[in-house]
Amino acid sequence: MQPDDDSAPAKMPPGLVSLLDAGRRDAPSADELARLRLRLAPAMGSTIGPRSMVSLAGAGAIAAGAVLSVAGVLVVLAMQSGPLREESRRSAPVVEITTRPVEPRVVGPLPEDLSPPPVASARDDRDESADVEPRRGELPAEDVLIDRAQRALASSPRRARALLRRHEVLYPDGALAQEREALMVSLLIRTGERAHAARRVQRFAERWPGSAHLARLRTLVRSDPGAPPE
Amino acid sequence: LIFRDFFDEHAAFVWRVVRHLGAREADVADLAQEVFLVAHDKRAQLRSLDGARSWLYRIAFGVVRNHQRLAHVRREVPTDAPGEDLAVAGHRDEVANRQVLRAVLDQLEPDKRAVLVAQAIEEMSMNEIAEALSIPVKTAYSRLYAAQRAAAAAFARLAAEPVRDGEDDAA
Repeated sequence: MQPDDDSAPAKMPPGLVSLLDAGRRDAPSADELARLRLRLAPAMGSTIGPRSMVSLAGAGAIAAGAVLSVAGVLVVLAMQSGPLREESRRSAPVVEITTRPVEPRVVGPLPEDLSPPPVASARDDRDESADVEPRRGELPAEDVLIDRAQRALASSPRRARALLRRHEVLYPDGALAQEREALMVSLLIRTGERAHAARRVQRFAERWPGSAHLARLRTLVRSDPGAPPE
Repeated sequence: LIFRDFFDEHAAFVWRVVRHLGAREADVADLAQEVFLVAHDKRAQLRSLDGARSWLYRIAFGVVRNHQRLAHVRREVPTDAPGEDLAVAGHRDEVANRQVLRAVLDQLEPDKRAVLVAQAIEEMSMNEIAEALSIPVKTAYSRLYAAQRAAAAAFARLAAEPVRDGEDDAA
């Protein structure tokens, strides 16, 4: 029996640890993700991060004079399908500035193809993932995401991470899932997240014990898979 | 960073966090949307993308907590209540794991649950967790240990529940 002491960690039963690990692999399905993207589409062209303060002023000025595109109208209508539509409209007043017309669709139940149309934003010149954007109605191919992530690994770890996470969301059990995880471990080593990398390798070994990647990954982390958290 | 890429990078994280912080299955999509809408509204506050997960976690915690305070949410009996889920506790499939995990987490106080979810599921560092929840690191550790203890006890109670009629067949 463990003492009732909040100053010391409690021993977690292995079954509970497994459940928590399973929770980590939880992810929305491609359909759920596509619906969510669609509902947030008006905000997707905005910028976020340290430079968004500057862009906000510009975006406000542009938005003031902007005319809603057909795509924008469709998106706003699509947002009305959810119970939070009123809050959504109030919270995401950003107008997507499109550079080309979008074919109108009948508004009603969500279309079977829920992948949002690739809307070109006014800042597409800074969109690092534009080269993996699918054509309308298509998801980016697995191999394209992995290939781009691999190429970005050395030069842009942030971009590589985004691409790998995108693959994880779209293709959690895809044919290239092992490659994704191996790349993620390499990325984590590069960014100094060694303990996280070790945990990834441990999970990799549990999931694919016979993988050809495993020996290399274990060498890469050069640490006990049970390394303490960072 | 374009918000679309920000969304792509963090969508699964937000989805998981909202779910594990206690949103009912029927509300997960709406609350995940709300988290991103709040993030969009407050995006100028995000000074560094390195702190994005802590920032989103803080937003998600607030969104879920506020939602659960709504009177109609408190009155409703969740359709995914633990009682009906335990019949599938022996399954190894994803849905069953999720339901049992929810049953365990539902036994925790929200503040402690938030720390356990961040640490054990999302693998956030204790510094990140403290920042996300606006608490001292020492408090975060204290809540973590308390949450671990409560979760272990809840798991033991669930494991000790008798098998109901038909459960064996369900496997």
